[in-house]
Amino acid sequence: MIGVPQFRDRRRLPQGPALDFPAAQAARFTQGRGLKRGSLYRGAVGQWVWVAHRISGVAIFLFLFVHILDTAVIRISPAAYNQIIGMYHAPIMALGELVLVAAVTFHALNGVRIILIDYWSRGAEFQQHMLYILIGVFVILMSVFAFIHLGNTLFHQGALL
Amino acid sequence: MTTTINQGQPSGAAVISDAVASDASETVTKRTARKTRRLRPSRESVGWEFMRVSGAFLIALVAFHLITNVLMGAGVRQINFAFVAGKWASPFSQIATFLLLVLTVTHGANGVRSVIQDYVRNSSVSRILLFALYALAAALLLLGGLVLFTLDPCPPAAPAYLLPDFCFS
Ligand code: HEM
Repeated sequence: MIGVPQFRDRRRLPQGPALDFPAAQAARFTQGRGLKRGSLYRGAVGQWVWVAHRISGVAIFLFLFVHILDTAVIRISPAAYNQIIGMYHAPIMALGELVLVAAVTFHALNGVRIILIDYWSRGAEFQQHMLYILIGVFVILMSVFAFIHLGNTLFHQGALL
Repeated sequence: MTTTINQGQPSGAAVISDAVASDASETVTKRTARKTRRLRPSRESVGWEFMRVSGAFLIALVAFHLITNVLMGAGVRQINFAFVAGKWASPFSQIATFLLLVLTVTHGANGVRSVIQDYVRNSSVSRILLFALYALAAALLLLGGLVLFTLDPCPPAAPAYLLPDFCFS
């Protein structure tokens, strides 16, 4: 569904019965436009957004695994937990956290887009618009987060620690 | 890429009843239509629906988690035993954390399941990976739940300066 260009380029679509399946839509879209057929699903940008959603989801899950383990150390003793959590205080970790929050923010925003595409009656029609809105909201949220987070870590008390 | 096809029409029950209703035109009685609609949704479609519902809840939970732990106060560097144990002393915070644990693990594991099913063609390799995934998810839920609900915020053996303030009042 994502990235199938039926609405973006509606007027240029060959006419025919309504096709519900993305693969069928994609196949029709490639007809008679000199695009290679059969080898690969060829969507538009949306296809790469889907790949990014997938990679971010798996990456967050890997972090979740580590994060549940490091938090579980709190059950051993206060000193053990403070030592483990102290490993996150390295400067490089501040950047890692920034990347992680960016992955979560993108995944969450695109998750909303997917939900709207699937459940809102006009969702598919506006999927491209929602992508632009996603980028805008992402930039705003990440700017705010980076400002506060880097202020608390790398630039704490004015110094680049 | 099989998932792109899955994404289009997931809800087994609705699809079947639509197809039956339009194919058999006027001869379809209301009773038959009702019968087809009562078909149970497929397991795949329940998983598909679950990703969307859990995702919607996760937005609120993840936002709350990040705001209270990473953005408010002094930020990530404020996190230590006293901070976390102090938080989990409140049942509200405990329940929010528990929901976050359950939904992230189930949503994430269900997502990784579809990734495995999409890319691993060999069925015995796929079965082993899926088994490992489910075992991992169960272990994470068990471990996380136990830690969350059995933590003593004021362990008697620990040095006082590492403990939350309320241990002394
Ligand atoms: C913060 C709110 C979140 C929202 C709104 C959200 C939304 C979604 C949605 C709607 C899907 C289904 C995609 C599809 O069926 O094509 C999905 C897939 C996935 N999500 Fe999330 N998610 C969120 C958080 C998370 C978290 C915290 C994790 C990791 C633990 C995660 C891991 C995954 C994985 C691995 C997939 C599978 C990707 C795929 O099949 O392509 N998500 N997410």
